[in-house]
Amino acid sequence: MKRVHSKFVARQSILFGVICLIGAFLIVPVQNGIEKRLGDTGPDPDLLYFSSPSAVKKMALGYENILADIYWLRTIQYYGRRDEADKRIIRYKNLAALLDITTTLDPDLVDAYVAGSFFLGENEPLGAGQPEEALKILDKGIQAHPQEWKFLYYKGLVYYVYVHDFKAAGNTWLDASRMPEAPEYLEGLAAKSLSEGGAMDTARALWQRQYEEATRDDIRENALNRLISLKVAEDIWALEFLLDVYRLENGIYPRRLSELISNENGRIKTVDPLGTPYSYDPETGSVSLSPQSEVLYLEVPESYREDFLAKLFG
Amino acid sequence: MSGILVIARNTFRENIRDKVLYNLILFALIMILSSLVVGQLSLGNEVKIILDFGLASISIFGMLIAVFLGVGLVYKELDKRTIYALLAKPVHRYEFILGKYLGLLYTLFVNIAIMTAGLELALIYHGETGWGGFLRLLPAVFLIFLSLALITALALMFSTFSSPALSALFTFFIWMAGHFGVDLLQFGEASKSVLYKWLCSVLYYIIPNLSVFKIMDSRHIIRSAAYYQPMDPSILGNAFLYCVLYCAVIVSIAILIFLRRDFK
Repeated sequence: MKRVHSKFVARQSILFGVICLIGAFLIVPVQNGIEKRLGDTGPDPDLLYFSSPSAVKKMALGYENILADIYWLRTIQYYGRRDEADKRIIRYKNLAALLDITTTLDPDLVDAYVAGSFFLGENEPLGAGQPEEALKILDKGIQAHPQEWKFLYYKGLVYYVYVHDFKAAGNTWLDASRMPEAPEYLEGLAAKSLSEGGAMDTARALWQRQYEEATRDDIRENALNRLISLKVAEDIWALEFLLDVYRLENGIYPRRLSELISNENGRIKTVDPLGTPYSYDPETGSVSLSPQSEVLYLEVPESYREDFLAKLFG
Repeated sequence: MSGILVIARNTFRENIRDKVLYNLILFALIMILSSLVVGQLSLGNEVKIILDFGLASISIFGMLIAVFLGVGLVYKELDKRTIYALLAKPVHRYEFILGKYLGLLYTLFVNIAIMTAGLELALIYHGETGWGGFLRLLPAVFLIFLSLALITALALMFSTFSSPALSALFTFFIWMAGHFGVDLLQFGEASKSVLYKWLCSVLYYIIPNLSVFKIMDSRHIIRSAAYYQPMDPSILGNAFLYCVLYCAVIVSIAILIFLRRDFK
């Protein structure tokens, strides 16, 4: 009797073992078949079930940190998975909301502000192309950490790279440079951006201060080169203007630059700030730095030329 | 005193025979270790993810252990009628309740120690911590233990007069309400009714304030974090005092209910 029972058990074990194996093998092709038949289900509905950061924070029940991590991971996936983004009607519709929730849950998650601002600011298709949202998320970081220079630095970067508002970038970097522990180079960066935005007098003052006060040699050297380059550009623009006036009056360009200098325009130099005369071509009337010059010329924005000449000659 | 310890020891033995306990610990350890993988997707926040996942796992699974084991503490004895044999011995009813409570606390302590070891292993594997990190982790775990001691007291109290299912439900609701204490107070303050204000402030003190125990997280542990905040020991002391007082009240209520119960 016992032997019959054990045989029965063995037979049933084999039977169900085989069913189990066949079933396991068949699941894969059947599931693939279903997915193939369903095909493309259309654009991703891109749902965000909870869009209110404060509501999510309330629902976290004290587990804000882990929830912030989960939302941050979801944000990275939402941004990073290009194949999914391609399926959405608007590629990154919920990106700003996800970052808002993440930073509300954990206001100290620096990467969410910083990387998030790049995700948002970068032009499509690489990013959301929403620099205004990038500025908002960085403003939130600044509000949460008012003594932190980094958020202002990144805000300046968004203005500079994505909004192309050099003046705003320069002013933001200038604010950042006044923060505790801000690196010295920020003031120079602000000056450069302000000069590109047309605020050349502010830029000159900032470089002058950096040159006088910076403790790092490379920063002082850069400030000096900026100041010298600015002087070179101003000299050349002024000389070229005087050359044009001379030609209008006399029909030809003068043979030497020194012929242009009178009592009224005595502050315009025909030698660069390090003492090498500017190169001058009397045929074309072009003035440039001499190849022998020791000046390390750093580009000065051409947009400043008109302002400068208007100020100098009225 | 010896009666309490004997019951506590037996409660602990009984608890560790429970398979639910092992499943919960296993899940917690899996969750802690999975943070190693998940952390790699976080753009340089691996340690934070490991710690957040680890501490949340210890807290959530600890809470489940406290509720599932706590609600059955008294009910099981009544259901199996072992309470008669117990109370026939020279054991006071208060000793029984205290013994059960301490036994479950000991079980929780051991479980939390296992889960903390798992978390520490995950951190060591990631290569981000030494003894300093381990020591900074302990106060956070201690706070979790305090919150679980409070949950256990509530579960025990409900188990003295209710079925396990209802006790679990009551405990869970109070646990949820415990995170909205400040909101309750704010609702009261926003109201013009004096009675409503009074009611809200009474409820605020009755419902356990669990946010007291959520004051430590990864930013207090990771020294290299952007906003590392060293923990103030006095805050830990206050949380401990709050827990002891609240648990004393709840366990006393449990004893009072149990003293008046008729087992005939």
